[in-house]
Amino acid sequence: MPYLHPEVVLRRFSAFTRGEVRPSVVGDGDEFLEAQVGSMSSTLDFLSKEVDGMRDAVEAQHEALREALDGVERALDGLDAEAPEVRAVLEDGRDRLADPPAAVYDHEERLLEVSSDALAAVETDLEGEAACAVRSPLYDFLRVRVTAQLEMLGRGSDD
Amino acid sequence: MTDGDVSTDALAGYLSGTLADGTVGVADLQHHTEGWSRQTVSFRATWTEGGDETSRRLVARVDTDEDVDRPHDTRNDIETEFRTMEAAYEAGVPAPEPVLYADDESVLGGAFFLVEYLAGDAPITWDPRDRQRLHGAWDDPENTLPSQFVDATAAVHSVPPEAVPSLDQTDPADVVDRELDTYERIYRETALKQEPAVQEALRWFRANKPTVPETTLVHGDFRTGNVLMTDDRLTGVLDWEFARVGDPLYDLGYASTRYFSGKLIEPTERPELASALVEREWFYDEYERRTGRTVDRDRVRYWQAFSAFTMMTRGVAGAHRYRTGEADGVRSAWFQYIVPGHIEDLLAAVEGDRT
Repeated sequence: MPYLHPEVVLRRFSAFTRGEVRPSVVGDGDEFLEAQVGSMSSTLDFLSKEVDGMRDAVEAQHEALREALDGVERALDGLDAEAPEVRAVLEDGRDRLADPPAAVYDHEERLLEVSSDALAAVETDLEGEAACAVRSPLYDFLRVRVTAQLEMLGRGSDD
Repeated sequence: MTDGDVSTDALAGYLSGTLADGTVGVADLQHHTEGWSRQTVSFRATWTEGGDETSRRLVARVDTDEDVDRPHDTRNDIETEFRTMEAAYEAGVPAPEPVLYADDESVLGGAFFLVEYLAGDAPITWDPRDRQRLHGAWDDPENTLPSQFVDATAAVHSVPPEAVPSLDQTDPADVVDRELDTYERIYRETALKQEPAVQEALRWFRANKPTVPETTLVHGDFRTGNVLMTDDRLTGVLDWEFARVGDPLYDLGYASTRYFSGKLIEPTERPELASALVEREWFYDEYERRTGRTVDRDRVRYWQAFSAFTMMTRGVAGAHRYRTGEADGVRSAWFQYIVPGHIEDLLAAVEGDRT
């Protein structure tokens, strides 16, 4: 098990809920039930996309964060900034990324922790234009993360 | 007779002697989805007055869980919602005429109020058909719906704070901190993941707090989705449960979010249209012209970004309720999917200053 891929089953359940169940309750005078069934169909569709795309999305974020940490180091060096807390977090973050958890949700959590710690350290260590320059690669990661999430949920697809 | 949780017999019994001296008949009960959080039904009430039969279609909003302690819920209690509508209606805001408030929970299972039924639909801006209808109204120079939307906004802000004594009478100097403290607390208590982009937005909100020169009544959930309209007529502003004393520009920023233009996962086709109906700069210019207020663009953009945060927080809180078992409605689980789109908008709002 499983013989059927869960994302396929969820997608079929979503289509059935939308195509068969919802029309059967439309017009009964209970708009709340109609809306609940509509939300259920939509949720099943999103879940199928999550199951299908979560691992790829997290892998893309992992790579983006690794590059972002390199970018932070280049920015610090270019500024000739000591920023000891940022550099310490950088080193620790690289170690944590080198050995990510196998479970995809734990892996995602690891990425969030490393990036949050880096941004918090920038806030503590730097200010003004230096802070902006060092944050910039981390914002590249943040954009990759949210774009990956939206694409995983169907942005740019034909659905 | 019972329809859902509402008994027409119980309703008729209560209204007989309350709405009219004699017997009141209740028929043609319909449930509505406008109130996800409060049960909403409409019905026809009929009674005899001075020998003539009178018939009126009314809407009942019922608070079926007012005793539930919800620390992450910023809605006002249902009586305050009704008193807000009374004040707004008396000030000339297009809103349903308030009829009565009843705290007798035995009638409908919770305190409730009655207002008149108004024609029109509340457009769902995430539905492409409704969105196209709103775009068409903006593109049609003969259609006055966009202008009526501005008038309605201005009318809401003509209501002085003291007209609704049950709302916290917050000083203008404290408005921004109140909003920030409230929603940051809810986010921190309900977030299932600590998103670094949201932490960044919170830092930006704290560092860029605007000065608020005055307070008025603020609707708090002002958008086309909470306005009843026909093809060319705005008939009433609904859903006053988030009303508060605040910065009037809050409502402009809130109505300007990409989400309420129709963005969910995909960007909307007409991102320049606030609430899918009015081009933003035109909206602000017309609001200035009709109210005499200056629309500080930076302040509106602040509230627009903050509104993306509040809506995202409602999505996060919905997922939290689902996870903890506090709610089992499908919508609570679905609501998590509004979060990434809002985070994208938050990033766009703050990254210019932060990088």
